[in-house]
Amino acid sequence: MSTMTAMEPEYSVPFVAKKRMPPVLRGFLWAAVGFLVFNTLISETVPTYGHPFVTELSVTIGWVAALVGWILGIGTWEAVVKPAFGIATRWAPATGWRRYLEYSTDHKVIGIQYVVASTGGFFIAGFAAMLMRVELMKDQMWLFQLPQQYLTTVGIHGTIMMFSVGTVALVGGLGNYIIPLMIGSNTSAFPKMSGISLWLVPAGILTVAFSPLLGYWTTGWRGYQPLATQDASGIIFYYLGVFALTLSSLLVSINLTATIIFKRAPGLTWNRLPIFAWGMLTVSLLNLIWLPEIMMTFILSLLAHVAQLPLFTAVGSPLTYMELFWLFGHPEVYIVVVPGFALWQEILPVMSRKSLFAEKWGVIGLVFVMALSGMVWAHHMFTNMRNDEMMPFSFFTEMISIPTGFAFMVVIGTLWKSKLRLTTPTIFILMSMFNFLIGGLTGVFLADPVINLQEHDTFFIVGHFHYTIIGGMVFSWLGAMYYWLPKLSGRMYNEKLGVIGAIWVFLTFNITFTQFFILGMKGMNRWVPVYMPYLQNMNFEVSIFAVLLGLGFLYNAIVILHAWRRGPKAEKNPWGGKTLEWYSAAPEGTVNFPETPRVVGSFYVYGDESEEAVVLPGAAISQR
Amino acid sequence: MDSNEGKQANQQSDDKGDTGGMLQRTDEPVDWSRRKFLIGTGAMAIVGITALFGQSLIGKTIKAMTGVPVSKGIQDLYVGDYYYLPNEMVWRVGDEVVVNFHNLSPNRFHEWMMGQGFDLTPSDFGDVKTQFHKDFWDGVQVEVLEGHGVDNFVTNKAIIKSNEKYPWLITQQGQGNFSPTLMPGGSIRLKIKVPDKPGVWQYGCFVQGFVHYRAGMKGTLRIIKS
Ligand code: HEM
Ligand SMILES: [Cu+2]
Ligand SMILES: [Cu+2]
Repeated sequence: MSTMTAMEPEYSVPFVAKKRMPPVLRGFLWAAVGFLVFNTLISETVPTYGHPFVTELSVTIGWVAALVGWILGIGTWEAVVKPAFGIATRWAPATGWRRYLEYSTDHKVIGIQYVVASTGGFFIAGFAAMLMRVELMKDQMWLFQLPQQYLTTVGIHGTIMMFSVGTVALVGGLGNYIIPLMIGSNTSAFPKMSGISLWLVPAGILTVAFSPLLGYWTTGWRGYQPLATQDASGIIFYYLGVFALTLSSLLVSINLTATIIFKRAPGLTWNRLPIFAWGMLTVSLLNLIWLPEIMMTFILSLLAHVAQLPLFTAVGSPLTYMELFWLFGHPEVYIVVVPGFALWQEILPVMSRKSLFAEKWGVIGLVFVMALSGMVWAHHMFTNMRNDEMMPFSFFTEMISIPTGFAFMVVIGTLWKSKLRLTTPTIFILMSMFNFLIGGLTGVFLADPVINLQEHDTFFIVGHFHYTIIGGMVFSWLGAMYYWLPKLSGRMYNEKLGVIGAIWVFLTFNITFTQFFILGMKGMNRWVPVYMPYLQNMNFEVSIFAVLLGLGFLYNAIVILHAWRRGPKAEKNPWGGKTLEWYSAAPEGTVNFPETPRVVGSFYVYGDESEEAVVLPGAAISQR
Repeated sequence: MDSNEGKQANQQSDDKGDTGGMLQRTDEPVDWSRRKFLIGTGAMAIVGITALFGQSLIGKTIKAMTGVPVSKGIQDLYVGDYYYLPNEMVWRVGDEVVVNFHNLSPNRFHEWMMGQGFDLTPSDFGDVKTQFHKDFWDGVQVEVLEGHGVDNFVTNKAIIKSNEKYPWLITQQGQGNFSPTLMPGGSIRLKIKVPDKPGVWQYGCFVQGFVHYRAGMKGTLRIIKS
């Protein structure tokens, strides 16, 4: 943000550059120091029998200190803390690739950082998925020695996928990058907070990934109590890691909500707000409602373990925790997939060069999904309730397919009789719609108690949610990465390689996960490393396709990365999009809009004599 | 609807405000060293991955190379959820060993059995290992020096000597293997003369429907000839 240089001149003493320690390393160093100091303090002063150096209490407090050390070390010490206390510091943000590896307040840098962090989490959790699938190739323990090791791997996979990919990648990554551009602003509302919140993500991922160091845990990504209290201490790192990840999402949502409400360019009324911005606003509100609820639940669980409060054991029943968890757990699936819906409706009008059909209904759909999300949680607990309690939850669950259907209708109406350009992003979005349709249809089955009671906790469920999450979210994430690549990097990907990547993951994904449904119906349970021998052939083959799918994701990441660095220079607005982000050519570190743009029309009206939606004062720059 | 006019003006001043206060940005390049970064993070990644996955493979290799020392005198044996520390011991026949058996778990009972072979109980999911078939402590003289938070002490065929009448000596012969079971935080101190039973013995905890043993609460004791 070079507006900053304007305020520089008062400073005149020559500044001798000091070699800094790489901020990531300094972050780790300060984290280690923080951990050692506080861990020692606690384990020495709070008596524990046998005086072990690391106790559950000391590791918890040590972790908090380590997190603070990490955040300070990454650059906030000079850039935030010291100035806040009135101590003059000089902060020279790094340039080039280095700026992605330290604290930054540039929303575009933060966006990329979030994308990279989520992708890192995706591959770490994906590696865990591969380990699981390798174990399931045989009907006996062979890769893992203990059932607990398998269960911990399942938990790590699910936790990192949900809280560092599903919840974060689109909102924190593309949201942070695109939203301020899309609404004609130069910054987000709270850039400092945003810069800090990013660094909670790697901390959270590493905490969860390294949880086995403290002991195995068996609860999966839901941290079920009172089972968790029975677990070894690794569960503590589950709670702490998830705390860091959810806190990050919460801060992102606060920032995006405020940005969208207060930072819109003149003329950008609510009626004209781009559909992707609507999606981000909806998700942010969902996050603001539900994340604090689940964070409190996890904190109570942590206390149940560390301070041995009888919160979920002596009083109440296992249902206490399940109610609390699923009250968040179901809205979570909309937190994951609503950004996906928004992307369908954002990208396809541009690709089909046709006005968005029934745009208002698209927005209403998003908002109704949000509103209904909190009314269905008990469909995860049909096995635990009386018959007459099932009815309302079954009803509301099936109701949600109506506003979800709006998203499909809007997109199909848009595609109707259009000249669709079958580019890689288009193909990914269409694939996402297809996969999510299967996830949704199987969801309707599962909302029906009769079927649910048969398929509960089998691989049918695992198939269903992978179709919704990978199908709905990961595919549209990939589509969006290809779509905005020219915007993010100024370079173009190779269309042929992109299409190959799309077809590769689509085929392997479908072959892998349709078989999950069949396995489930044949009686394959979740959370078991050892199963009946008649299921082995199918599991063996599923594992092979799962590995091919994993390689497919890797392939797409490499194609994108390669295009990012080496791809041919892209046109400024290769797809001919009308939304504001295409009017700004600014790379990271520069001002988005040197002059305030002015919105004068809808972004989604296409046609022969359609008008520009945006007026830039001064030059009448065309979008093409 | 169009009430956004004027917002932009605020926005511009906000932009300046956000780095305000005492912070001054510089444009001088104080970029940090790429080499240090790569070496540092690379080294940390190796240490981390070794810690995570090396427990079994690399840890075992190193142990096999260095060997486990023969212990006499005091031998600490800690249990936690769900492990023994150490999970390998070497004793020499005829030596005197004082075992300090401590339960470090804040909320779980743990026991210590030692023997060879297993007694199996059939179940729908295959045989369950319920305890050792041959009890190491058969005919061994054991002196109980001290005990706190002992929940249950099965003496089986060991020859127990203790100065006081301990209230926890409650389970006598024929009720399963020799095993002290400790409450959370409990401890017991036993003194023995290593019996002439050379070979490899297993130890383990079969509490909670044998879940603890399956979860990895096991270890090996090697008795070597004097
Ligand atoms: C190559 C891709 C993937 C494969 C092969 C895969 C495989 C699996 C398998 C086999 C399980 C169930 C294990 C069991 O219950 O025994 C599982 C669970 C799960 N997966 Fe995936 N997965 C993949 C990608 C993803 C992605 C992208 C997400 C989310 C963004 C995800 C989220 C989850 C969740 C939330 C669970 C439930 C974990 C639990 O029960 O605690 N997975 N996965
Ligand atoms: Cu649900
Ligand atoms: Cu035990």
